[in-house]
Amino acid sequence: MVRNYFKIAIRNILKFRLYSCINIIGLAVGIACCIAIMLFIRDELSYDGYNEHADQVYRPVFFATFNGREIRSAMSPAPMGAAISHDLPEVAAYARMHYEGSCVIRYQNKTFVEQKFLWADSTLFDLFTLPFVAGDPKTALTQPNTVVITESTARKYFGGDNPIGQILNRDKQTEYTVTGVIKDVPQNSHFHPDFIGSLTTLQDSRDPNWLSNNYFTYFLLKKGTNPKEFEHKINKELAAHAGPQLRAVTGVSLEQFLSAGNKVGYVLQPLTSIHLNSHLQYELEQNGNISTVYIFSAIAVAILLIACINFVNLATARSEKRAKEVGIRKALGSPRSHLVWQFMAESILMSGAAVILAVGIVELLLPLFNGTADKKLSLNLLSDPWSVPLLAGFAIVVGVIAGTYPALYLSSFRPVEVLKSEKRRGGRESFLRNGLVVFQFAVSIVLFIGTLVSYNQLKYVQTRDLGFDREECVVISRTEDLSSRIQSFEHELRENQDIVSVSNSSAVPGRQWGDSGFWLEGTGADKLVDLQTMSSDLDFAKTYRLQMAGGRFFSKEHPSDTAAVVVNEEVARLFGMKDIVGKCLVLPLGNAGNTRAETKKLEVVGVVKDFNYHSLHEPIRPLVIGLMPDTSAGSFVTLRLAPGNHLNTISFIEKVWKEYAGNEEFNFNSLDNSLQELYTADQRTSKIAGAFSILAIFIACLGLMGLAAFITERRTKEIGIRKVLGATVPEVIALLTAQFAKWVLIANVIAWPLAYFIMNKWLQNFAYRTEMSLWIFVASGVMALIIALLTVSAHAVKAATANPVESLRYE
Amino acid sequence: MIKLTAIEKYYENRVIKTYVLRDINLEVKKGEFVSVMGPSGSGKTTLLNIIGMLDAPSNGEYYFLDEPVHAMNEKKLTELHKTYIGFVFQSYHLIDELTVYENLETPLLYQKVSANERKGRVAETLDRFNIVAKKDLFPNQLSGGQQQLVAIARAVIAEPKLILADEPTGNLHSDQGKEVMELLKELNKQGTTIIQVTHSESNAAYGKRVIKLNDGWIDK
Repeated sequence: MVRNYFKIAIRNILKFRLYSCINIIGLAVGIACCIAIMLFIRDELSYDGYNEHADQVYRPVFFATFNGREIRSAMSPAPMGAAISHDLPEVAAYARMHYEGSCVIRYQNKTFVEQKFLWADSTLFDLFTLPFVAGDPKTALTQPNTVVITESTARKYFGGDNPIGQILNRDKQTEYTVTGVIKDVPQNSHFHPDFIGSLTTLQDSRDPNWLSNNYFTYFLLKKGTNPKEFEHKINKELAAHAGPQLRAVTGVSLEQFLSAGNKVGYVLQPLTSIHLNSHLQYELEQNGNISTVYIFSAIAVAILLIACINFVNLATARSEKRAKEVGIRKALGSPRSHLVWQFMAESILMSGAAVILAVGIVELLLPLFNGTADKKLSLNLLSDPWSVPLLAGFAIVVGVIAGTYPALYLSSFRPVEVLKSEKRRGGRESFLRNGLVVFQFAVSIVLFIGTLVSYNQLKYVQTRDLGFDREECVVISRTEDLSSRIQSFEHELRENQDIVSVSNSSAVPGRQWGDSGFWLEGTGADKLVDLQTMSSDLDFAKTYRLQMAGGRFFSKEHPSDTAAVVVNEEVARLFGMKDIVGKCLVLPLGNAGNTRAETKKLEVVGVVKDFNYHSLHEPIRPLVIGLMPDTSAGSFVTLRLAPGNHLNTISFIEKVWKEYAGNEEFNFNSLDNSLQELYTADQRTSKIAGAFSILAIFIACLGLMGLAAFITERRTKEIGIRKVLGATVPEVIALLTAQFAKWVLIANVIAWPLAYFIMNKWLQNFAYRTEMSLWIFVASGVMALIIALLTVSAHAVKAATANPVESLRYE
Repeated sequence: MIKLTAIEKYYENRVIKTYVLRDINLEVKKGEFVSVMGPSGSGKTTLLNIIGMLDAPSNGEYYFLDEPVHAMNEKKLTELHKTYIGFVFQSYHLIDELTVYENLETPLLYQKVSANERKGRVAETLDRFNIVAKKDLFPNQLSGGQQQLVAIARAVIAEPKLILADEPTGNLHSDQGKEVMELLKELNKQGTTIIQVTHSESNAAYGKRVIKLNDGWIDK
């Protein structure tokens, strides 16, 4: 019986080649998209799951509101881990990590700038599954000045030599003995250290201060612990430990502070949710985004639905061709259920063929997808025992989704009707079929609009006036090691006439900035606000071409500027003051050991107009700029170059750098480039979504083409009669295409509000966004219409130009 | 074997009721060969479809082997129809995508006949109808007469008690037609009940009884 079904199915597939090709290719492309997206999503969801205790590890993160401004940081205070695990029995283990940016590592004559040097407690390996290839995880990080490195780092520095016991130098300041080598950290981890130094090396790790958050803390909770209750207990502990320190430093008690409307607390993040759901200040690495997962899932479902709809539409449109067989089989005694199974088997066979083709497409195009998505996905057909059964299951599910309605529809034919005569059943317009085509086009138009809106927005963020001049600027990083020599370094650069201006600062736009709590003189610590902080030399405003809104920038003529600050407009707004120049900000200094409140007063001498120093995802935060002391150097030197060819100037800069920094690496980038890099993740998502939108349209058109073929074929007689009655060719073409045009227009009506709603949500990701102008919607609609008409016109022209005598002969 | 009492069939729309069959009372005994005659539109085919359980009457009672067909559910109907009834159509109605062999095999598949027995019975039938050489051809590779031969072979392969033939010779020229009629007569002799619908007096003469239909009424 089953063999009989498959035989018929295969003969049908071969007999109606156009129909089968459209179905199989459409399904295959849809399934290939789905597989690629599922691989992507599986990877995104698998982050940190490789850890044996993944479901028991939690990270407390800092959520606070100071005077109405939210602060959300991934870090927590140094003493928290030890105190909590001492006080609360739920903690099985804890480990802290600390990161301080890039560094230079030297080994004999090898020197590399390293981005991924972390410090961690020796217990790190109890929480995270990082297998050792050499050394003992129990003792590797217990001593100061020890470091554990990854296998590839070991190869990079020591080649084939035994790394254990070798000594690495960090920034010419500290020496670390290698005590362990771990396997490279899996790609699906939210942190990827190359070096893990022992945290006891750092004096600061023993700081009892609960008021500053500088460490990433992870708790391994005992099985069965309720994380909500644990979070509650942590916050109780916070009050007990931080309260007295707050009073000591600021003179304000925690109760007073909180009753002024401020909020402070820690929120517990499950380890496995960090990658997709945590977007805080000071993350260890740039995390993924759950909304990307949602967007891609939606696209995968949409594409698969479009492909399945093709199947449904073509199967029902050509149902006349199968009606006779259904009638005969019923007359021969087939129950309806057998027919349902027969047609199901046929659609599963088709989707099986499509899955095989799809696997080929995926294998072929996955490298391209990986390149765009910055992933290392692979199908692992042979090595993953699950992949083949999963794909087979997928084929069955798709076959059932696509085949159920056609099977029920086809098997419902009554033999009396279909066997009555040789005449084919009149081509009734199916409401469902039209509805499904409208749906396909509505989805395609939504994807079109989405692509255009995101393209527009990304163009906007790259060209918007940021409040400073980003052109013709280059930034040298890691200049802090020049320390006091920075003055003469800058001086030498200024000598070159192609260098317009030079400025040294602790931060530049697009990088992480620091923050600190301040209050306005005359108020108290309960009016504390969190402000972004940086320090710069005298020329920062000049180099970046910042505009002053009031007062002045730092200058040589005012020696007292060492105790002065310049703020942005947002600060004035925050304190609710029109004119903040001349007022003083108070910065609490003391460390927790002090019993007396110690503060520093800083006079506001100027207000710069707001400028976007973070990505446009975020609103401009209030900013305090302090003056850099002469004796120390900030991490960045920004140079404004004269317009023209910069090549000579840059080699000059490099030459001067070599003079001052010796063989330290020369790290420089144009300011514009480094700002563009803020949006790579967005661009990636937009590119992938765009590619999938095009595929969705392609599949929809494939279906439309098939449908057009059947509909025009069915209307051959009508066209013949019309032509005999005097209709011209253009009139007939118009008649045939009008129907499709109508569908696309209806699809637009559905798609526009839907697209507006979805993209409006997406744009909320950006603090600064473009308007969704009407032309995007109109353009998408017109584009869909043109594509649809081009698709159907081939058949329409063929039918319209046919000789009516031919088509009427057999009637 | 068949007993129809006061069978009516009509189609209804909002305005009018169109009658196809009116007050049909008919009894067919086991082993009979009945010819149904009448002009176009007199309801012959509808009557045959009702007897063959492909169509349901609007009113009236139908007993097949003393079982009330009018009161049966779909499943029971299919069961009864596939066990006892074979069809022969004017336009053959073979499945185009299947070979002669596979067409013959199909009714047996629905009766859950085992693979071995199926093979045997198909071979036997091919032999009996002298079409062994054609077993791997598709219907469109056969002449009309050959196709009808296959269709009759397919109708009898399941050894039905009743064969319903709707103008079996309508699309054939006279020599082929005669052959088909002889075949039906032979089957009848072997005990199969046959009801045929026909236009032609000469074909009707093969039957032992003729029923004339006119505008849905049986001529008395």
